[in-house]
Amino acid sequence: MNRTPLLDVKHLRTRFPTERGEVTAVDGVSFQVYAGETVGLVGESGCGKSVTSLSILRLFGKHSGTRLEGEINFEGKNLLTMSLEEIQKIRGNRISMIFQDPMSSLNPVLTIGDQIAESIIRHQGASKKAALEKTVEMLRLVGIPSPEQRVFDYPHQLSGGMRQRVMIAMGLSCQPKLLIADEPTTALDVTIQAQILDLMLEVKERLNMGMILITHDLGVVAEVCSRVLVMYLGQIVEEAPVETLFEHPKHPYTVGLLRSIPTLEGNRSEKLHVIEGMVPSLHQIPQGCRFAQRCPYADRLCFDQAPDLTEAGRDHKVRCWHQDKLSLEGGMELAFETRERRETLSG
Amino acid sequence: MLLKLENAVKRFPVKGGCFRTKSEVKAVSNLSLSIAEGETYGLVGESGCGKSTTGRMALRLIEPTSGKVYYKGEDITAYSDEQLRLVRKEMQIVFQDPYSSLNPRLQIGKAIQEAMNIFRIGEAAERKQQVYELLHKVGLQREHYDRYPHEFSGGQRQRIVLARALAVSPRFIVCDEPVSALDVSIQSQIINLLEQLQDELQLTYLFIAHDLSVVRHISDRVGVMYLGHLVEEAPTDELFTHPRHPYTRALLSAVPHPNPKRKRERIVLTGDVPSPIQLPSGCVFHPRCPAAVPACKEAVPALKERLAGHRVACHLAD
Amino acid sequence: METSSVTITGTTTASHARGRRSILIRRFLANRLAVTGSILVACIALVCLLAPLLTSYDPLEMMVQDRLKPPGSSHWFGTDDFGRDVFSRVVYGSRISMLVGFSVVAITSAIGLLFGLYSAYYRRLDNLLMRINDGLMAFPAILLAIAIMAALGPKMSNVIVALSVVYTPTVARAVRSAAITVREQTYIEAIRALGGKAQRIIWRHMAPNCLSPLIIQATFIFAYAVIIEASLSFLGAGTPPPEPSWGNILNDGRTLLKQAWWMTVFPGIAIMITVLGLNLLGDGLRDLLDPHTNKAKR
Repeated sequence: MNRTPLLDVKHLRTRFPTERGEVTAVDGVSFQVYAGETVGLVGESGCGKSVTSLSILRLFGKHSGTRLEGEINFEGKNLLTMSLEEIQKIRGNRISMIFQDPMSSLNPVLTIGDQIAESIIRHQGASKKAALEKTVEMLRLVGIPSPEQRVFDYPHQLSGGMRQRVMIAMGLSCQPKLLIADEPTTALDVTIQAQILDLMLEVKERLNMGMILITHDLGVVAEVCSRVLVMYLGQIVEEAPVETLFEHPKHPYTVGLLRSIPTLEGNRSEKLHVIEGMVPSLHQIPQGCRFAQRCPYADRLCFDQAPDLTEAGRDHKVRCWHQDKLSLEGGMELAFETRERRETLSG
Repeated sequence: MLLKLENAVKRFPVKGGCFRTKSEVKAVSNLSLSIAEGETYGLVGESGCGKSTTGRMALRLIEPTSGKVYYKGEDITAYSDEQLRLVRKEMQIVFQDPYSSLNPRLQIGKAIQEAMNIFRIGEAAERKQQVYELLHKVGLQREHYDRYPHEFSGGQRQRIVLARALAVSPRFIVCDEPVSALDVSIQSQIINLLEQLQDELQLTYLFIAHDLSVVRHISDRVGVMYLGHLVEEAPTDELFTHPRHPYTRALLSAVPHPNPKRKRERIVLTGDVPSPIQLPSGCVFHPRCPAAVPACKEAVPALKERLAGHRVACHLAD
Repeated sequence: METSSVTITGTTTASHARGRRSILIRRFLANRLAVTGSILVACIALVCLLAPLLTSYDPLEMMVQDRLKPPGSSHWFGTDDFGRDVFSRVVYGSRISMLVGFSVVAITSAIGLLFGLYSAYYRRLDNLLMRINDGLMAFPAILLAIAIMAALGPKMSNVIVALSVVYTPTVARAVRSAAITVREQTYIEAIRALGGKAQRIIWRHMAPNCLSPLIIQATFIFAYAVIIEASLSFLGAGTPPPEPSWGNILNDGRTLLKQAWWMTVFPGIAIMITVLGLNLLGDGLRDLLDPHTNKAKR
């Protein structure tokens, strides 16, 4: 890809103080987002995926003591060196964010029309009348029936799915170049989730936006994203185009995740694969490979030295010492073999 | 049949505004199902469909407005409080939220032991030993006995909640979304644990969840609920390969597959779930049903057995 | 390599536990106002315990030759119009204030906890108890206290009774609202599902989880009790003279304000320090124990 990326994150490191000392929630994350593509950011709770997205818009309280390092270049400007006023102009205008819980992200005492119109007036200097017209248009775009009446509704008068549509309408009202969606469908039912995902994809096409989708649901990733970043304990452990990731995952953690979810097609009588143990605390980041404790293939090297994120194929990067060995066996079958191997090792 | 619900109905009264118009949320309408000893019955549906209410009615944690609940052939809806208390020894529940289901001020060993204290199971001295065994059974250690809930992660708490439920040696456990609050890798640990315990202790589960893949994995039979009605019920493989009710079909088609090459043929449902205060006439699904015919507005379809063990409530299923 | 995941989780949680307890202490120590408050309260408590050692005069002893002496080396706070040592009287007066405060807190906490928990658990009882509560809370505290004292007669034990009647509703309400939140928690349902009876649920599960708001409330009630006891004594409806109470010492000095300022200023300062200390402590505890303010601070 020779195009310039819309968003270029370089060596992002986010640290914040806690009562038990400072933690590095995001540790050296680099990635790009191009216009028109959807990048999935996956991982389990505590992996730093949400902190990454908050870091992009610097959505931390002034007094939280959060320290950001690295570069976040958006349309050629580094967001991390901007003044707060400058970044205010970008938030909700050039870059929008949609959160998981639509109810707590909407102000309960303002009508939804007021809330959407507000950002149009603020960022685009539209008149109140023009802003309201635009709002109705946005609500129609996100599939809300009879938007002329709905603009006067308060958030509590809408269902969860409708509220999430309003959030999307609000996020899109200034035609952003980049949309960050943090678990946008997690609080919704599957049938509604399907509607919302379709809607987001359709709008993304129409506006040629870049999109970052943060989720823990690998099914959603497979359906929506074109490229995927897998995060574990603050670092990217694997980055690949979506087909490659699902067919030839190379990091043991990705393999483990893919194998541990039940599917609608798998063999029911088989036990689910399990990743042993649990994610260590950010206060006790293991030296060496961060996944080594839970990894079935880990050896001395893994416990001693941390691997880098290295090229493993076309557009495919992996952070693992044994990726070449593992990739030979290829994807899903590999896990079967190694389970046997591990049993013989431990036996 | 170990457990049987017969025409169970639950309506919650809603207090109106200043005029006190009496209205009711019809959480569960005329629901009948039965669960055989040793099986796992999966109950699926979207939020607000009444699946959790059904699970709690099975234990009489919520009193049914009408209808009967039979446990081992006995009508427990007629039981007195004391009789009910005794039968609770055999019926337990595991909740969705592992954070609020443990008392934050009680050491987890004591929380597990409490169940034994309530029924005076064994000698007081033996109980601690039994708690150690339970902890081991759910994959925790003896040292965890005198720790407090906040020291554990979500997955570990769910193990503790399971140990507490198992302390009274139940035969039937209602699992109300036991894994939906957990991370993917922890989810599979708990599902495997549930299956392992079922084999070891011959447990019967009513497994309530909204995640169809999980339900498919764990259940022997599955019931699908929509707006308080059981709309379809069948053995798991039958239901997932030959869904007969249009709602089940739409639900199955909406589940995202972790396979990017698979092209989805989605049945898109329009609109939202109607309010359970004013149920639609006739078939409750007809306003959103892609196949609805005029008859659907008129009459409520009965849940009829179409094939062996496959019950469907739809006028068009014939 | 030797570290299995099991031992790793073990050590994490163990250090976590220790960490959390020390975090609570550290957070408390970091709150300067709360620390100041607890130091003040501790000082008053010490004064009250060590009263006989601190004073060289009997608070009731009249030394006619030493009437209305200004503060000096023999009488630190001066003497009153009967020649009694004001320092001794203020120091001994702290005992009355503390005794009243403690008793009122003990009684209101016990009854308030009982009422609060039961009305949270039994909805029918709730209607009855809370209406009585509302009725009592409709009166301004001081007026209600004066009315009760008028009926019972001025006596220290009656002050305690009156203040307990006045403040029990406040405690009951605080406990009730905490208990209602707790009642909706899943672990209560779990105990019901385990066949636990109402008493077990109320006392073993709901009560311990309502203690934080109770403690916070009790600290403030302690402060109010000190003020109102002083006010009642000042008005002559509280602790009867010659027993020294900060309120009646103030009253004694009221008419002599121009000649003997020390008779009013010192007991006034004593009241101020005590109430300030208790309020600071209460605020500190609220910051520490109340999850809502915690979140806001983070």
